[in-house]
Parts: sequence; C-alpha cells; structure tokens
Amino acid sequence: MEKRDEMLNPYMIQNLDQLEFSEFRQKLQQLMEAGYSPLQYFGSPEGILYSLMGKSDCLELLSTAFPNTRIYPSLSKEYPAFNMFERLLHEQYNIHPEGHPWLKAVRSQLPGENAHSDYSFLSDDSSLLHEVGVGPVHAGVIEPGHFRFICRGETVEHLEIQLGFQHRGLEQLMLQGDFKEKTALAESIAGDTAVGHCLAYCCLIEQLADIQPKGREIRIIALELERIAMHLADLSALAGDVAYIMGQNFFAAIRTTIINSSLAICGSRFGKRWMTPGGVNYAITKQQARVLESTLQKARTQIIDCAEAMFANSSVVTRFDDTGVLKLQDALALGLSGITAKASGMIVDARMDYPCIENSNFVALTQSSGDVYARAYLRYQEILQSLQMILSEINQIDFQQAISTPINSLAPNSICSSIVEGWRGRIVHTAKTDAEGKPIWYRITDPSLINWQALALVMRGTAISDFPICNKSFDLSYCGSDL
Amino acid sequence: MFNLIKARIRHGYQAIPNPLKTQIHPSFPGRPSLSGKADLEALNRLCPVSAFEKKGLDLGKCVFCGLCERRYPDWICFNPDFKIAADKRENLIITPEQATMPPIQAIKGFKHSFAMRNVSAGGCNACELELGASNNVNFDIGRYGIEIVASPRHADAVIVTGPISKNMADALHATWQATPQPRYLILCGSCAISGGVFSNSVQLDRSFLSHWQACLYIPGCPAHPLSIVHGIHSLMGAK
Amino acid sequence: MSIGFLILFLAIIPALWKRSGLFSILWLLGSGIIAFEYLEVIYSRTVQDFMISFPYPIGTANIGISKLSAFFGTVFAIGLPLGMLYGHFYLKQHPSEGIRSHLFWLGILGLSMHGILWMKHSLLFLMVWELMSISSFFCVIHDRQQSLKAGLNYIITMQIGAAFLMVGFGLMFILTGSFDFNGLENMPRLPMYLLLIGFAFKAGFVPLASWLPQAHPVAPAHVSGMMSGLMIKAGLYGIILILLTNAFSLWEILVFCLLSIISAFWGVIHAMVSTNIKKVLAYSSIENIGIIGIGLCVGLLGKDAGIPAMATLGFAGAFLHIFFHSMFKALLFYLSGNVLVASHTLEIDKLGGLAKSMPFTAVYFLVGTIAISALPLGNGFISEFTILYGIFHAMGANDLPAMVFGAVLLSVLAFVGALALIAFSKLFAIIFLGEARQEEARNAQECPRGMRIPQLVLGLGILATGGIANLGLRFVKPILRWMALDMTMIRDFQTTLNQVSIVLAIVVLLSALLYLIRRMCVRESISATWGCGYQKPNPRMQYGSYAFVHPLSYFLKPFILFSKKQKQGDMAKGINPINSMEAVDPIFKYIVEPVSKAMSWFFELFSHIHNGKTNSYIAWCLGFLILIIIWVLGVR
Repeated sequence: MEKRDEMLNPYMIQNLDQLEFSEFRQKLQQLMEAGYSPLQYFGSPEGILYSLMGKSDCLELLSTAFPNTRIYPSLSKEYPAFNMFERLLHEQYNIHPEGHPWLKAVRSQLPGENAHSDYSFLSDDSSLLHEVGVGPVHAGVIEPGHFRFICRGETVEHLEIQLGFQHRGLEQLMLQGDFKEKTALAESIAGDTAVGHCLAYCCLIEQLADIQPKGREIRIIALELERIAMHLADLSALAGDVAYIMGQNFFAAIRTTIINSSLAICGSRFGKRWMTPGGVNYAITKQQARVLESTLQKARTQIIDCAEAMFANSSVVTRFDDTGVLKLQDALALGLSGITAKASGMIVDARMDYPCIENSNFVALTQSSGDVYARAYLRYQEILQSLQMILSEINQIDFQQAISTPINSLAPNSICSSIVEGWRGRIVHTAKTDAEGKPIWYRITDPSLINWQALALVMRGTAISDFPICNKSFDLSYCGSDL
Repeated sequence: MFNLIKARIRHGYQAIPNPLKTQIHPSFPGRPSLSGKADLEALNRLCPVSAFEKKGLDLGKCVFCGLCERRYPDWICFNPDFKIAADKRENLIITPEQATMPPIQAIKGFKHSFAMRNVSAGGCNACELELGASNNVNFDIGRYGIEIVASPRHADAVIVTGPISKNMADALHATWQATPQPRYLILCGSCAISGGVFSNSVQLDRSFLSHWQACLYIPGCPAHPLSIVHGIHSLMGAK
Repeated sequence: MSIGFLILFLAIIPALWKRSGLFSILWLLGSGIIAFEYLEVIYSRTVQDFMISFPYPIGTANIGISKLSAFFGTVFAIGLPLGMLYGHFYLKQHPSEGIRSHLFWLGILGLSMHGILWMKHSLLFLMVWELMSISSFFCVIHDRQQSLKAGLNYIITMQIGAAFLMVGFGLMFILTGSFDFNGLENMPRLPMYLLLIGFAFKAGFVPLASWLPQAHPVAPAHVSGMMSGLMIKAGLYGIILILLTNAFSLWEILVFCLLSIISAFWGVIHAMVSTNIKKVLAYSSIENIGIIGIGLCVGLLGKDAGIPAMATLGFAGAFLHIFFHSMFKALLFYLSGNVLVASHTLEIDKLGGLAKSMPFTAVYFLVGTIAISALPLGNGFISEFTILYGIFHAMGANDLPAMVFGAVLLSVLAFVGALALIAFSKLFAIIFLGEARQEEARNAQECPRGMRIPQLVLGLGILATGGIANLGLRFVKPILRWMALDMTMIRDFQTTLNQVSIVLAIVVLLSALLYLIRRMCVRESISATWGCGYQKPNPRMQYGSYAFVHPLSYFLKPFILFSKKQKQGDMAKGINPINSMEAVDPIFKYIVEPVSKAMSWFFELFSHIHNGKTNSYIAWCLGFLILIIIWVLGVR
C-alpha cells in the first residue's frame, strides 16, 4: 500500500485543541483580518462549535464548546460570510447569535415554529408595493424553492428565497451503515455534481485510511467532464431564456455528446458509479481514450462556433449586459465561490487554492463585470480550459496501471476535511470518527448554501422579468443547499 | 449571422431517428439478467438499497450503482436495454432467468398527445435534468405529442421525481388536486418509486403514494431519457 | 309639459318631510311625462315658445325650448329620476343628518337643470344657472365632515365661472340692447370668449376643471353620478348654443381642438394613476368632455372645410357621446356607491375579490367599463365610431387643414381610448378580481335590491344602445336636420351601423351557444386557484394598482405631478423608502392655491379691524362717512 503524498487538502487533524470561547472568537477575527474566509462553521452533536478557515494554500480548523448561555454576539454583523452558517447553527442547535442581521430558517423551521411553511417573509404595507410569490412547484422542470419578491411595479425591491423543500436528511444518512460504502449516497447529494461530491467523500475516506488513491488522471477527467457538461447545460438554458433558440439547441446537443462520453466509460451520463474510495471503478482503455479525444476535439470546434455566434448576437448581449450585477466587494464580503464569485473578479478556485489532486499549473479564470454576461462568458472560457485539461490528462494515462486500492480501516478519533472545486464552486466535506473509525458527524457544505445570498442581492433594483436569466446565470443547487 | 450558419452546418443532424428502436451504448446499465445460481441474500447484503429482498432484483429500488455486477459478474449483469418501465409495481421485480420486461398496458384516449406536469419532490436534480433532456433536440419527445406543461391545469399526468420529502408533501398533494380528471401519476426514477438511496430517511413523507396509485414506473438513477420516452410512449399506446 | 313640471315642483313637499321614496316616485312620474313631451318636440315641427312679462329689469322674457334644448332635456329627464331613485336607496344605507335639506336641494337641482334649457333670456338664465350651482353645492356637502373644503372650492370655482357669464351677457346687453338669446348670433369676439370660458368652467375643460376631481369623490354617489352625467352637460349646452349661432375661423377651431385634446389626454392619464374610484371616474369625465369637444371640433372643421359628411358625423358623434356618457358615467358612479356601502372605502388598494361577493356589481361594472372604453357592445363604441367615421371622411377630402387635423385627432382619439381601457381595466381588476386585500373588502356583501334597479336600467340601456347601433342615431337625427347639416350620407352610415349590429349579434349568439354547449357537455369542478403548491399565500401576493400602470409611468412622468411621501427606509433589506405616491393636480397646486393663499394673506392684513370693540367700529364708520362726504362735495 502506497503512502499518501503530503498535501494540504484533504486536511486531517487528531487531538484538536479546544479553545475558550473568547480565544476562539479572537482567533477567528484575526484570521478574517488576515484574509481567510470561513469554509465551514458549524456545531456538532457533541456540543462543540467548529470553524474551518481557509485562504489560498492555508487551512486552519478551530473549535470551542457551545457557549453556556447558548447566546453569543454574532459574527455576521462584521463579517457577512458567517451569515448563513449562523442561521444554520441557530436552526440546528438553538444557539442564538445576538445581533444577527436576519435570523431565518434554512432547511426546516426555527426552534419554536411548527412547520417549514411557517417561514415569515419580510412584508411592507405600502400601497406602491406588491408581492410576487413563485414556487415551490415551478413552471419548468427544476427543483423546488419559494421565491418571494417585493415589487414596486416591475422593479424588484427585495427578494427572499425560502429553501429547504428538498431536505432529505443527508447528513444523518451518511452516518448509517458502512462508512466506506457511501458512494451511492454521496453521488445523490446533488445529482448534477455527482462526481464533485463523490470525489470529496472519496478523498476524505482515503485520507482517513491513509492510502494514496489510483486513477488520478481519470478522476481529473471525470471532474472536468462534469464541469463541461453542466456549463453547457447552463449556456443552453440561458440562451433559451433570451429566445436564442439556436444556442439552446446547439449547446444541449453538444452536452449530450459530452455526457455520452461519460456513459461510454462508466455507464452513467452523470458520472455516477465512477468514483470509489481508493480510485475509480471504471478505467479508460486506449480505445476509449482515442474516442474521447476525438469527441472532445469535435465538441471544442462546435462550442467555439456556437459561443462566438451567441456572444456576438446583439439581442443576447442586450439582455445579458449589465443585468444582475454582483459587485466585487459584496462577493468578497459574503465569501462566495465558483463562477458566482469569479465573474465579479474574485480570484478563488479550490483547484488553485487547495488542490485535492496534484495539478501544479492551474490558473483560475475570472471576469470583472459581475453581470449575467460575465457569468455566461466565464462559463464558456472555463469549458475551453477544462477541455484543454482533459486533453492533456488523456495523454498522461498509464493504461496498465490498476485503477483502485482497497480501503481497510479508518483512523479513529480524527477530524478530516476534504475540499473539491465542483462546477458550482467549492465543496467541503468534514467528518469526525470515533474510537472505532465510525463517523460521529458528517458535514457537507455545497457552494450553493452560500451563493444563494448573491441571487437575493443582485435582484434588488432589477426588473422582475430579468429574474429567470439572473437565476440561471448563477444556476445554484437547491438540493445541495437543502441536503 | 454567417458564423451562425457555419455553426449550424457544422452541427449536423442531431436528432435520434427513432428513439424507440435505437441502440444505446453497451456500457449502459439497463435491464439486468439475474442468473439462477445467484445468492440473493449475499447480493442483498452488498446492495446499498437492499434491492434483492424480494424474489429477485427490484428495479424500483435499484440505483444501478453496479456494485453487484462488479463484485459478482457471474450472477448478475446489466444489459444495455433501456426499456425498463412498467405499469405495475410488481412488474419491476426481475426474477432470476427473466429475459424480458412485461409489456405496458396502454391507457385509453392518449394516443397522440400527453401533457405532463413535473413535481420535483426532493430529489437530487439528476432525474429532473434527464426529464428536461428528453425534450432536447436529440430525444425530442415532442414528436410523439408528449409535452411538459407549466400548469397542472393543463396536464394529463403528474410525473413525480424525487423521494417526496416532508417539506414537499403538501405541495405535491396540492399539485395533484389541481390536476383535472382524468389524471394519472407517473413515478420517474428510483427515488420516486421507492425512496431510492433516501428510503431510510426520517425526512421523507411518502404517504401520498399510499392514497394514489401510479400508472407508470420508470426506474433508473437517474432514469435515462430513452427509458422515459419508451415508458410514456407505451403508456400512450401509439404504435 | 306643465303637468310634468307641476309634479316635479310637488316633489319638493315629500322631500321636506324626508319621504325620499315618494320624492323619487314623483320624479319618475314627472320626468316620464316631460321626456315624452321633449321627444315630441324633437320629432315634430312644433316648437314650444312663450313670451312672459316679468317686472323690471327682466322685461318680456322668451321662455321656450328648441330642438337642442329638447335633446338635452330628454337626456336630463332620463338621467335625473334614476339618480333620485338611486339616491333614495343609497341614503337609506348611509343614514345621516340633513336628509331633509339634502332632498330639498336635490329637487331644486333637478328643476334648475331643466330650467336652464327653457330660459332664453340671459338674466333669467343666469338666475337659474346660479340656482343650479348653489343647489349642487348643498348636495355635494351632504357628508359635511370630509366634503366642506372640496365643496367650497367647487362653489367658488362655479362663482368665478358665473362671473365670466355675467360679464359676457352684460357685454351682450350693452352691444345689442336686449337680454334675449337672439343676441347670441354673430356676437363680437370678447363677449363670446367670456361666455365660452364661463361655460367651460361648468363643462370641465382643462385648465378650468380642477374642481371636478375634488368635488366628485366627496359627494354622495347619486350626486356625483348626476353631476358628472348631467350637470356637466349643462355647460356643454351653453357651449353648443354659442357654437351654433356663430361662425368661427380656423384658428379659433384650432384653439378649441387643442383644449379638447389636452382635456382628453389630461383626464385619462390622471384617471390611470388615481387610486380612489370616484377620482378615477371624475378624471374620466374630463376625458370624455374632451372627446365630446373633439367631436364638436370635427363638426366645425367639416363645416369650415366644406366636407358635409365630416360635419354631420362629427356633431352626431358629439351628441351621441353626450347622451351615452350620461348613461355609463352615472352607472359607474352608482356602482361605486355600491362598493362604498359594501366595503366602506373607495381606495382600490384596500379592495379586491369583490366579484365573488358582489356579482351583480361586478357584472354591471364590466358593462360600464366596456362602454367607457369604447369597446364593441358598449355604446361608447358607437359614439366614438361616429366621430372616427367623420374623421375618415376628412382623410379622403382634398382640404389640407382638414387632413392634418383629421390625422392628429385620429391618433389622439385612438391613444386616449387605449389609455382609458388601461385605466378601467385596472379599476375593474383591482377592485373585483383577485383577493380581498384588507378586512373591509373581505366582509363586503352585495347591496340591497333597491340600489340595483337604476343600475339595471342603465346597464340594459347601455347594452341596448350599444347593440342596436342605430338606436341612438334615430334620436339625434332630427337635431342634425334642425342644425341644417347635410343628411345625405347618413343613410350609408346607418347601413354601416346596421352591419356592426348584425356582427355583434352574431358574436353574442355564437358565444352564448358555445357557452351553453360547454355547460351541457363538460362537467365542471371547482378547486383552489393554482398557487405553485405554496401553502401559505397572503393577499399581498397579487398585482396592485401601482404595478398595473408602472410600465407606462416611464412615459407619463413629464405629464403628471407626483407628491411622494417618504418613510424610514430599510435599505439593508433593500426596500426603497418611498411609501406612497399620489398624483397632484398642478393647476390647483400652483395656480389656485397660491392665489387663494395670497388673497387670504391680503385680507388678513385687514383682520385687525375685527377687534371686537364697538368703539373702533364706530370710528371706522365715521372715518368712511367723512371720506365720502369729502369726495362727494370736494371732488365732484
């Protein structure tokens, strides 16, 4: 069994120092001032509050016990990046962050309320304002969520998003059964990010088992194929929403060829059943590599043709340009990740900051205008970047090598975090094992949990008819946020 | 504009000529063949969703993860046969040495058009993406008159994807009540049929299905667009 | 005739005893008789003319009716009793003090309205005119708390208008030596303009119409309906009287045209943004006066340019609109009275969903909306169609001014019609459709049957005159003939109208047939409105009145003055701090109010004269006497 290469991510620690609450808070503030951002901030059933802080190439895990009074001064006033985490903390463990700008339920109901549907929305009784409520059952084939707009005429003054309709209790389900055999569940955290979440889970298990996984190139190829497929889906949806039907159909058809390449190798269009702790389940043979290469080359020409035509089309550009602008300072303050952040100029990408698979020359792409156009164009650029990555990785596959190593036992009494850059942004899985290597708790943070705040922010002052393209330009996961 | 014409010409013809008779890639895990020698109990212990509890492999529970196929290739193999939909829950159980799926009984009156309203009831979004993909230029269910409509008032059937979480139970019920008679229920994906990988979760509320009987079950995780096309097309009874 | 008027005079007696029922019945009876007599005058060649001697300074006065007066008389005789009947039932719902005097002044109002049409002597005319203004003022301020300020504004504006009339008639007397209306023929410009302005005050042309949107919302519903539907037409009567007896140059017609266009446009855009039902209807009255003015312009242009078809159809359209407007505006005002009684508010942003609890009101409101938006089946369509048809004739002729005018008027009529449709769809939708926005609307119930009778009559009348397109024209033709207009193309026009009627009939019958077939074949089930499966909807989740017109407000900004009320903003949550936005009448705000404030300030300078001390009063009197004596003896 090979020893693991030393890497920052996945991050494992045993015997974590538990700080005093004031020390914990001071340390957090110091890290925030130094440019760190909270990757996770959560309570655990043992009554301990954890915070995983990260900056490019640095990770630090802090912990403290729950305050005795279960009340503490909120961090969100100074650092909005903690906003969503504190809401979740309040909902799950009834710990009250005093001075939180807006304590609302995230996935079910606040302590003290009866039902998920008891969520009280902001309301104003001016006669100029009216409300528009859409969902949970939306007009198209998309996931459920309730959007409440307060509109002054056709302009949105305020948007509030109620999620939690897809709460399936994933974090509890991860604790049941054999901890090493949870790939099927991890893939279903968010089915469109099956590879991303499963990879995070697998890396976590491998770190706990202290083995070096096989199939490095195949894993990169799977992750990037997923990224390309979903970016194409987004471009297709965006084109459809502005009635650029050519784009809608082209991108959807090209996406089919990409995901059929996944199907050809592992049997699933979404890359499900491909990853496993220790490596991958399905290898890429020489023949398959050749077919994949030619498919991707063909797709590349078609994507460039279609995207150039779309982004030169004036009716498309009119709709996209200057719509749903997310300012850089807001993105930085909220600690966003993925396309949502990069399109506003924030340089953040886990493949660069904490790569879980060795790749030394990755540079994150960004745009600066932060509008729908920037997010759409950045997707196009990332597709080309991912295609380039896959084509170079294909050349490096060793077809004779084994594709997986067995997992035996998991390290006891350890806390382990793994971070993967899914196509939406930064995925973080953290787990703690007990004395027998069984999990005590498992925390999943999909990038959508934080990024939904960006949508609520950009809709202020936008016309309500621009909501579909703003929503699709972010394309956030409802189920990833709901777990 | 010339760029666009050039792109269109290079794009070529993308539609699958006949989705009902097409060949899918051999890697696709479709209808399984269970050998008579298979030890169902061993398979059941291995299976993440315990799909081998009854006398065979229950496709309604199966998430097609391939674990059983990789571990015991002699006992079970999944054929690239996407025609796995069934109109009765019992017909989804593949017994050993079963070679075909039982045929689907068509419902009367929908030969040429069928309108569906999708309710995404807490799934992982993969089935929704596949349902949406069945509308695209490759699979094009519109050519059979199958469409996905925006309002349940326009729908003939409600197609449920996802395991029906507690928070979506009322919304699903409301959608069903809002659909005018005659109305049909279709369950798409293993989560909808049996709860899938979430079947043990306390956050589900599947009581809706104890009141209302579905008329079509489309297995898969996610259900492949070709399975969806085939299933609904057979339900419509068109030739 | 005298029997009818006698009955109307007698109606004052039950009024003094608060017997509003008997009052209305007598009015119905009397008006019925009078209406028949008026119709006789219109259709026959007889003219009723009396010369009565009055003491000095009136002298021998000519009292009688021409065909024009008879036309207006019929309109009044149809509208007034319905208003009195509605008033009887409405006041029963709104019991308050002062019914005795209110009914008395109502009776006087009605009588004076008829009286104006008979007086052909300017002094008598002015006396009855003043009586009409004063009686309407007392009727308006029935609900004394809220209405005093608006009522006073109204009466003062009317007095200013009457002052113009007095000066005008005075000049006429000086120039012709007699008070008789014969002097109206070929008058010199100054007295004519003064008289026109005086009548325009009453009719409601912009910029003299600031009183309308203030007086109508505070007046009780039946008074608003009668004022808007009928009293305004008295002003138009005066204007038409002068138009018929004088010749106008193209420039003067242009000015009149411009004023009409401005009135129409001004009225409709303010109707679009108002949130009080009666204010919307009041502004809409200004708009319709503008349309009638446009019709009169088309007639005058036709005469001036020598296009007889245009002249005839223009005047025909104007007269038809006068008649039809009285019907649908009265209907809408009475229905707003229904809404007020049921929900105790006229603010549409507090209402909603009333179609379920008040189906009768909703259906008749729809009929009124169809009529006022000039949609087919409503009679507004017929009158505007007539005017448009007249304009089409101008487009075909060779006269350049007529063609240019015609094009401009065509686009204005079309635009104004579209905006009226928006304003009234908004009104109907926000009040009757959707869900009740606040408590008052939730508890609303349909009004008692009595209130519905006049509305039923008016509604059926609207549908009848809208469906049977020639009905109104038959009524108007004798007037046109009397005005010596060319009647040759009327036959063709009537054929066109017949075709319209036939098409409408076919459409209605087909729709009814389809509906009945569907009723028989399809079994209906009723369930809750589809709301995306959301479990806790609230009444704020529906369109509001501001949202309805917001997309247009971009274009309306330069034309409407808004006063915005700020409140503490919640910028953290993104809500803009403007709490409410109300359209303000700039003429009132920038002209009337400053002038009256200046006058008050000026008079207050003398207020210290009123110091309560008898000594100083005597001193002032003494001082004045001394000055007078000095002036009489010294200066003279």
